[in-house]
Parts: sequence; C-alpha cells; structure tokens
Amino acid sequence: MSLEIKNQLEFIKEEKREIFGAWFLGRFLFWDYEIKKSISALKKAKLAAYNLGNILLRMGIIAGWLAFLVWIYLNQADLSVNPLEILFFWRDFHPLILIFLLSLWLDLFLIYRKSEKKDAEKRINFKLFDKENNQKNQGPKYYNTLKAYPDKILTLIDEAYFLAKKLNQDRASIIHIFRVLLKEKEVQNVFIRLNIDAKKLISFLDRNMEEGDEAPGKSSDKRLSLKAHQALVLAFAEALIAGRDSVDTLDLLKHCCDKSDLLTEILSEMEISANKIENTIAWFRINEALLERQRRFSKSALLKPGTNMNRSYTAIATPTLDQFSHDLTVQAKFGYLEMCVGREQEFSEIFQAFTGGHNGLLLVGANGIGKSAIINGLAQMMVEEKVPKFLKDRRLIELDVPTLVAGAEASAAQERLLLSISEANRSGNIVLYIDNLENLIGITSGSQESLDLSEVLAEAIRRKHIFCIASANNKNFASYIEGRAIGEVMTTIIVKEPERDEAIRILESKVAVLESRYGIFVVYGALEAAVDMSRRFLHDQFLPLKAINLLEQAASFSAERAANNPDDVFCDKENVATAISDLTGVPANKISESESQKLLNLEEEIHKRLIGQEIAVQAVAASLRRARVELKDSRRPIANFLFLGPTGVGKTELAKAVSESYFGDEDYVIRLDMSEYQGDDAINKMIGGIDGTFGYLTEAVRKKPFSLILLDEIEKSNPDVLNLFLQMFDEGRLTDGQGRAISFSESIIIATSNIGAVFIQDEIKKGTEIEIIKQALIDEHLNRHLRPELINRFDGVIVFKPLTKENIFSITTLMLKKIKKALGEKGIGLRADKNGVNILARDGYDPKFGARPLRRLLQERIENVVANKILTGEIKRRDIVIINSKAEIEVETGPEL
Amino acid sequence: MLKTNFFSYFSIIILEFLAKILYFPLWWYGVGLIKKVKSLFYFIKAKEEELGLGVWVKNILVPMYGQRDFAGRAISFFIRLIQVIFRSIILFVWFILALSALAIWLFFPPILVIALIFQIF
Repeated sequence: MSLEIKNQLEFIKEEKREIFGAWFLGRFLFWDYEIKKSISALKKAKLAAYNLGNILLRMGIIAGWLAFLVWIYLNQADLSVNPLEILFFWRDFHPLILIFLLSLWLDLFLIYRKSEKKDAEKRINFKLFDKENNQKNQGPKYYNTLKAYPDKILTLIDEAYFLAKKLNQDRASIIHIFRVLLKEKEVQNVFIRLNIDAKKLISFLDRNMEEGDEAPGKSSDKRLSLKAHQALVLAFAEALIAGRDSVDTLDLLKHCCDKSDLLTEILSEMEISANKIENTIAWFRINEALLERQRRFSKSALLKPGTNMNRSYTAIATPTLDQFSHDLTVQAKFGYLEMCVGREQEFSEIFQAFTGGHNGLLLVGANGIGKSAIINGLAQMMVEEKVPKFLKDRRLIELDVPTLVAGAEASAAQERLLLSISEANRSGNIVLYIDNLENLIGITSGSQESLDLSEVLAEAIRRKHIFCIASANNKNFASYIEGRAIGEVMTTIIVKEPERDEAIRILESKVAVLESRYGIFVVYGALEAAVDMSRRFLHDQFLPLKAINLLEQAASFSAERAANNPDDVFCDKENVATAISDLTGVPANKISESESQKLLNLEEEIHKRLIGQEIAVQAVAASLRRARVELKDSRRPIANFLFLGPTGVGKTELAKAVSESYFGDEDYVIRLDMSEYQGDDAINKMIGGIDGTFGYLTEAVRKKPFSLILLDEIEKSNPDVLNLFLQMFDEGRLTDGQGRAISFSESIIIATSNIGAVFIQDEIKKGTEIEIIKQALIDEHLNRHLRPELINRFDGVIVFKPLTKENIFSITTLMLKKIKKALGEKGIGLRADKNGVNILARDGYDPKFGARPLRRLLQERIENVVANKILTGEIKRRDIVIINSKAEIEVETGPEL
Repeated sequence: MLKTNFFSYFSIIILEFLAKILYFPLWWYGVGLIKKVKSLFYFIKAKEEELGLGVWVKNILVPMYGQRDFAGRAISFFIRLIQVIFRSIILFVWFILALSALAIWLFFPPILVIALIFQIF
C-alpha cells in the first residue's frame, strides 16, 4: 500500500504559493506549522492541565459514590426495614447526599468530555477527499496536513526541532524526527519485534545527528527540512487511505525510514531496512485489523442462522446433501475457520464472475497456495453478509466427494450426486463448494465400469441450477479438467503464489495464534527467514503454506527450548534455520552463518585436506567469492567449474574439499560418473521420464538442493546430456520427467575431465606457464569434445598440474596421519622416520597416475602389515608402530598397566 | 495559518477552557441529544435485524420450507403471523427501553437541579 502512496504522490513545488507538497485526490497537501519554544511550553502545560483536570474529575466522581455508600451504611437500619427508601435518598438532608448529588454533575460532565474527546480524535475529514463530494462542493484546494495530526505528534515535532537547535542545526530533519519517535511506545514495540537493541540504535543515532537537508520553499515553515515535510505529507496520505481518524506515530515512522540516506546507513548497521520496518508496521496494522474484524464478526455472526434454514424459512430440508457435506458458513459462524488475510483480487474476481452470470467457478492453483483460505474467507464474508446481494442469506456447503463415492457403485454414487444437486437447487440458499474437483472425474467404483460424475455437475451448472465453486491444482486441472465438459462450463480463476512481502504479511496474521499456542515470542527476523528460506530450500512446495509450516516447526523448536530455559522464549531466524535443516538436511549453522567468513578462509580450509594445486585452489576460491559477491543472477548455480588434468592429481579430492569447507561435509557431493550416461537412455536416467521414472540427478537435487554436483569425465557423456547441461549451467534449473522445475541455484557444479592430460604433463615438463597451457587446452583440445557454448558457461576452467615430488611427500604424510588417527582409536601410536616416508613417497609415485598408486602402496606396506600384527597379537594397546628409515614396520612395546 | 505568540496563545487556551465548561449544557441538549437519539435508533435497528421482523413480514405470504400446496401455504401464513406478532412484542419492549433511556437523558439534569435546590434550600 505504502509503495502505491509513494508512487501516487509526486512531491513538487507549487509555484503560485511557493510551497512544497503533493496533489492527492484533488487537493494540494502541504505542511505548515509554526514552532516556538514558548508556545510549545504552553501546549505542554495545557496538556498537563487537561490531564490533571481529568484525574480530578474522576476523583470527584469516586468521592461522590463513596459518600453515597457511606450514607447507605449510616442508614442501613432504616433501609433494611424498607429497601425502597433508597430511591428517595434525595429527601434526606445530609451533607453526604449533597456531595453525591453534586458529583452526579461530574458524571454528566465526564460523558460530555469523553464524547467530545472522541470527536476531537477524528481529525481527518474524509468528505474533503471524496471525489463525488468534491464535484458538488469544491472547498479550499489547499490542505494543511497539520490538521490531521494529534497534539501528541505535534509535541514530538516540536521536540525534534528543539533537538536540532540544541545541536546547532538550522532545522529538524528526518533523523531528528526519527530520534524523538523512538520515545513512543508504539514505535518501541516495532523495534522489539525487529529484535533490535534500542540502546545501541539510540547511541548510533546520537552520534550521527548531522544531516544537511535542504530547506523547503519560501513561505513554508523552514524549521523542518524538505524531506521532513515530505514524510509528514505522505504519512497523512497513508492515514487517509487506511481510513484512520488521525495520523499516528507508525504512519510517520513508516515514511521517515526511507527518506534519509544517513538513517538508511544507520539502520543497515543494525541490520534493518526500511522494508523490514514497513513489514513490521504492517504486522501491527494486521493485528489491529484482525482484532477489529473479530469484534465485528462475532457481532454479525449472531445474526447468521446456525442451521440449514435461511432467515425467511423458505429453504427446504436437504437430508441427502447433509449426509455428504459440511456447512462452511456454520463453521465460520462458530469461529472454527481461520481468518483470511488479503486476497482482495481473488474475491473480487469471484464476485464479478458470479455477478456476470457464471454459475460455476474453478479456483486453480498449486497446493498450499491458499485456495482453502479463500474459500474460508468467502464463508466468513457470507456470515457477515458482506457479499453481493444474490449471495446474501445463503450457505456455503462443501461437498465431501470421498464420502459421496464411498462404498457405492458408480451408478449409486451418481444417484447420490444427482439427489444432492437437486436438493441444493430446490433449497435455493446453497452455494456448493467442491475441493479437488478431479475426484469427481472418471470414478471406477465396484464392478461397474468407470463413470464420469463431473458430467452430472457440468449439466447442473450449465442449466444454472446451482452456484458452484470448485478447486483443483494446476497439474490435475491440466490433466483431468481442462477440455472436458466440466472445465468448459466453469470459469477459471487462477490463484497466484503470493509475493515475498505478501507472504510475510500472511505469516504476520498467523503469529498471534502460534505465540499463544507455544508460549513464545516471534520476532520479525523469523518471519522473513521463514519466507526466504522456504523459497530458497523448499522448491517443490508453495507459499504461503510452506512458510507457515516452517514457522510452526520453528515455533515448536523454540517452545522446546523455552521449556528448558524459561527466559529464552524468542523464536528467531536461528530457529527457522534449525527447522529447515530438519526438513532438508542442510546443517543449520551453515544456513545462518554468514558466507563471507566461510569464503574468506576457503583456501586455508581446502588445503587442510588437499596438498598442492595452489593455483587451482586459488582459482576455485576466487571464483566462488566472485560468484557470491558479484551481482550475478541468483537463479544460477553458486558456481560451475571444469577441472582439467591427469588422473590422480586431486580433481575429485578438491571437489570433496570444496564440499566439506563450503557445505560442512563431503556427503553433500552428488557424484555422477558420466561414462554411465553414454547411451540413448542417458537423459531418462538423468532427469526421469514421463512414464514416472525418477531421474537420478533431478531426484538427488530435489531432495538436497544444497549440494555439490560432481560430473566425472564429462567428455564421455552423451551429447544430448551436454545440451541439458547448457540450461542447467545458465538458468540454474531443469524440468524433470514429472514436469517439476528443479532448481540448481544452491548447487556448486564441478565437471572433471582428462582431456589433454598428456599435453598438460608435457607442457609442465617444458616449463610452460599454466595460463598458456589452459588457453591451448581450451582452443585445441577441449573443443574437440565439448561445444564452445558449454565451455563458455563454466565460471572457471581450472588446470591441475601433475604432482611434484614434494607434493607426494606431503600427501604421504597426510595419508599417514589418517592411518595414525585410525590406529589412535585403538590405543596404538604411530611414528614415522622422514627417510621412511621419503621412500614410501618415491615408491608410490607414478607420473602417469599421480597420487593414486600411493594409496595402494600404503595399504600394502603399512595397513596390511599392521592389521596382521594386530590379529596375531604382536601389536597391543599402548604399543607404538614405527615406520623406520627403510620404510619397514617396527613395534615399540608400550608400558604394561 | 497559525501565526501566534505566547500571549495570544495563552488567552486562547484560557478562553477554550471556559468555553468548554459553558458549552456543556448546550451540548447536552444539542449535539449530545442528537447523538443519543442516533445511537438508540441504531440499537433498535440492530434488535430488529436480530429478530428478523422485517424478513418475516416481507415473507408473510411465502410458504415456509418450500411447501407450496394450499395446506402448506395456509399453515405457513398463520405460523408467520404468530411469529410476527410475537417478535413485534419483543421489539416493542426494546423500544420502550430505548425510550426510557432517552427520557433519562432528557430529564435527568432538571431532576438533579431540583434535587439540589431541595437539598440546599
């Protein structure tokens, strides 16, 4: 809404009067208000005097009634004889009675004051902005928005100005207003929901109060900056549109937050933004609105009949229909349905279609998108009778298709449906709702052949016998409904997935229920995380349901925690991360931890398990950093790499190391040996087929979107598969055999290849630079196997050098460390002589196979020997295995216990 | 435009205060009375809606429960008539209550004056 207001209002200089303001609904809105210290003090004194007066008034009233009670006490003997005497109390000449009678005047005065105060709160004259009214009565064209501001806010504006003065500034700007707004309870509550340390925010603000803001035009008040004027005018427009009686602090807060660069800077330092504040304010508004609606709803619900009869008793009984249905309006009347938020667009489409003579409507949208919420909302509107005339005094009945067809043969089910429809028709006060309309289509029941019940319904709708609303998800609509008779007679209304902010607002409306159910306090960060993380990780579900479920799970986690630690009742981003990790298996700390730290230490992390290949590691780390920091398309994979090099130089190892340091575990590697995808069925194996088989790649990524996809020996795969990769690398998504879009935006894709391995070895021997080798590889070797557009889509082509002798020595040491660790678990030590390790490294090195033979060598010479010795009892706990200078095994006996 | 200085504003405040006290009796029999009448009117209207009297009167000739035969129509007419009478009585009671509330509004201040005079003199 606010966005609309900002867009609707253009803040301009009005040349005639030389004031700044904006045209809105036919009037020029501006702000003109004089601030003087003396008057401001008087105003404060006046407010204080009025408050004092109010207190005295109430005290007088209480005193009067007390006097009356004392009089009753004093006269209790007489009154107990004749209680009716009390009515003639005024005939008793008594000072207490005099006090009481005088105080009754105060009661009357209080009634008067309260009514006047209530009227005074209505500061916005909506008639002035009513377009139809405007044509009849022009009125003044200029509107000083000051009129719409209550004294409380005007006092705050005064304070903001004095604050600026105190800081030797000419005028108050947004930052000063924001600072004084922070004193208000409503504003403080917003920041509590945002989980912001108020003291820190205030100290930040107090250190940064200098804001050189432009002054407004000639005749306008120059004590406030131009942007402050703008905020005050916009806040008025906001209150006007929302139909509030006067502008309140939250309206002003909302329009202050995005006006000042300095404030934006300070807010982002506190990790908040104007958008977050707007959404949090919306949260408070939603709660207010829900309370108000609840109050109104319970009032009007009293009038709605709670039976199947309408108010005029003209409806007829519907015994058959009652068996196979339940009454949504009755459920709504007794408050069993959740309040529906937003969805104005869909409601207006429903009403328009009905008014336009369409008797059948079909809501189409994915599961969890809110079709049921819309129907519940419709039931509530029907209870309140806030519906077009032809829907008034009607019932919304949900037809229970499973019950309808249960235990009946197809013809019997058809008869039941026919009877139900005919009853609905004759009763005349029924709107039928059928959830999952596809259930009525092609039912095979008992021994009889399949019967299409939807034809019966379609006929009734075509003849306009009943009003019917139905729902179906996209897939079922396309496969079963579209193109059939039932699809043709029904008007389709597409229910769209809500946008991010709308989804957050839907969540906001659910928080109160969660908070009371779990006894926790939900902060705004949790809502935002629930929407963002569900969008990021739960690709096969839809908003808002996936976010609601996620938030509920997070709430239950924090309730568990609160049970152990009653002081910690906050449900925040961390809880949502835990919940998502529970659902997807991604480690929670990895989701919430800031990536920057992870990325900065990437080289170090990788080198903990990968020896050598510094250039390759650097290139990968730099690419990952680039990919994340640069403004890249967020739908694309995190990064795509092509690793080139001879076998055994650490290509796969680097992929695993990246997975471990980036995702936290090497289990996040999805490994595909592309030599297995050479045949014609490669695509089917990869992404599944329309026959229902699941694709290996798409299923793996669907279940684990947070993953590293390792495509080993990519050059060996079928050319069709390579074409598939083009889209995967570029768009970050593939459509699987079931028609689901699988997102790769959270994946790192690494392809390895041995192409040009010999060339690399030769060139390295010659001492050619790696960059030159890489270019030659791409130009001369790679393009024989891979298409240039595919090579182009890699974020980096990384060439692995053959291993040097030093590398092999380090790798041997690393492998021995692993063996040492394994032995250590059995209580056995390991020590190695440097010469021995050198011998092992020398013997294990093969220029053709890199470090691969080394593993075998260590198995044969060390692990096998040690294993034998353990079995024969030569090595026991506390013994130390020694690899001597000849690389042979010796045992040092440990101390006996 | 609000061009003011300390003294003028001060006198405005004092005048405002006096005006508020003097306006009280005028308000009671003017704006206040209109508001009271309006609120009682809405009260009666809400009660009428609750009882559905209008709906019953409007449908007095429409058969109940879709029974469109002669007997159905006849029985329905009489049942509806009884309902209308019964509901009118209830509404009338509410109406009397509303009227008494209005009477209290109108006559309470003079009675209070009389009672006070009676007490003091």
